[in-house]
Amino acid sequence: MRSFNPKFLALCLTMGLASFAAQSYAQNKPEQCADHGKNKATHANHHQQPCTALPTEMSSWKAPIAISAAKTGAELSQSVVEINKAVQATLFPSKTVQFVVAPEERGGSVSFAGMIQFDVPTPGTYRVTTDSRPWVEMVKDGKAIDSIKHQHGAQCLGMEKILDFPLSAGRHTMEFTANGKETIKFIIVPVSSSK
Amino acid sequence: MIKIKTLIFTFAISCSAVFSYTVIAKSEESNQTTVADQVKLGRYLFYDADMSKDGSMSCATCHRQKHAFTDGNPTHPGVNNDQGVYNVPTLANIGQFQTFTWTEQHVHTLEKQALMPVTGTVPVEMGMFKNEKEIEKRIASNACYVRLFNSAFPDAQGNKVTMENITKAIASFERTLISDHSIWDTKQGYTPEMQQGEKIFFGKGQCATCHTPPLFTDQKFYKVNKDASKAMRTPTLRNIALTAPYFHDGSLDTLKEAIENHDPHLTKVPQLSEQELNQVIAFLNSLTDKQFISDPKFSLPAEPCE
Repeated sequence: MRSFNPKFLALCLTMGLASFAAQSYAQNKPEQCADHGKNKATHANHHQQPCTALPTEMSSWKAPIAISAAKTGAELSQSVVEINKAVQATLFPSKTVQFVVAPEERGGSVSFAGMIQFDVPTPGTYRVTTDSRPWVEMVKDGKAIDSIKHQHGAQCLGMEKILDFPLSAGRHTMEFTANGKETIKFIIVPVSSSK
Repeated sequence: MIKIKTLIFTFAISCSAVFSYTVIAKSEESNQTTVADQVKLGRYLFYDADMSKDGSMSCATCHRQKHAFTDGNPTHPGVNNDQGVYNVPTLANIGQFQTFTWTEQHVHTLEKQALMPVTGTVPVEMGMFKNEKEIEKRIASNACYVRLFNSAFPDAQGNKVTMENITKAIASFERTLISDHSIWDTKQGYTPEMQQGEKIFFGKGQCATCHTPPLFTDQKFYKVNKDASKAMRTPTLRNIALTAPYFHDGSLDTLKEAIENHDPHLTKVPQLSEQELNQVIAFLNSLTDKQFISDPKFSLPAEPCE
């Protein structure tokens, strides 16, 4: 009559359990911070960096003007801001805002939104810096303008998102949506002018 | 008597056949309606930022249609401003994939993958780890959503607004994201330069060894250069002209750089001349599907679910 070697059987069971445990761990293991290879700047952002100095043209970032953003197109005339001057705007629950142009991002029911207007004196690239990560819809004459560059801000200065837009002269509407906070601090500065 | 019995028997069989056919046909029709309802629901959910901690991020925040459902950045930060780890992959033809992550994480269903950015912690993306009940609560508070869940999951018992059904619906929508109308597919506007590039792609360049059509990926994992610490899944090349920057970390801005970063010793991709590179890039540009990036069936619904 055949019989199993108990030691061999125990070894097989142990190997089987170990293999099962390893596979379960591999399936549940979250993505780890990868070696980014050539993208050393991205890799460096995982760690603390020395804080950059606040550019002179953005010195008002430390003392923004407080306003209420507009909830409808009719209120926009009361929410006009100047370029080169930081603003702290109070927003509204996203679902209550009636945008002049439907934004690409609506924002969830727990997010905040609002609109402001500003005047561009000369055509060129203008940079919008915010202290949070809203969706920014730039509008002129009823049409949305795509950003041409997107960067992360210096977190140590309370800057999170930076967007560059190519703008023509005249009045623009900026729509903030999907903002996680009830207020937003932002500043618009010229980067370069068009020839 | 025998003839009558035969007649009755034949009649009974015919009735059964007609009845069975009708039941099966209605069942298939009902199935198709349910799938269509899941797709409709899934599309709303895909674009709904209530899936994130502060309402700032939806699936579409990173997967933007005009970028072939990528986002045009090296990586995308999460709700807590955690730096993203990997470049956002496209969702083109995702329903035909068997693996869904840059590294091999044994994620083999769209439903399982859909939950990862929502509840993942390394890094935090949408920030709802251990807070799935909050998503269910937000969604269930919307009567429009409740109606859609009832239609999409008619057989589910009890409360239908569950994370399981949410991910099922999103996955159903994602399976409709089919991209098969590129210049290469239709050959409309296919230039001699693209044709020459195709010859190199499928010949000397050895590109098709891993970037195998029709998906232009073999979905296997490789280290393509000596800098790579881990094997990465071959990305699809469909709509590649729209999905810069490139590589798993978005570190390469151009297709030329991406091709040149394939180590010949590791990938068999040979050194190509400037002209050959330009021809291959022309071919890669032919994999752009303009219909896919503008099809309203895949876009943000015109009105929110209210």
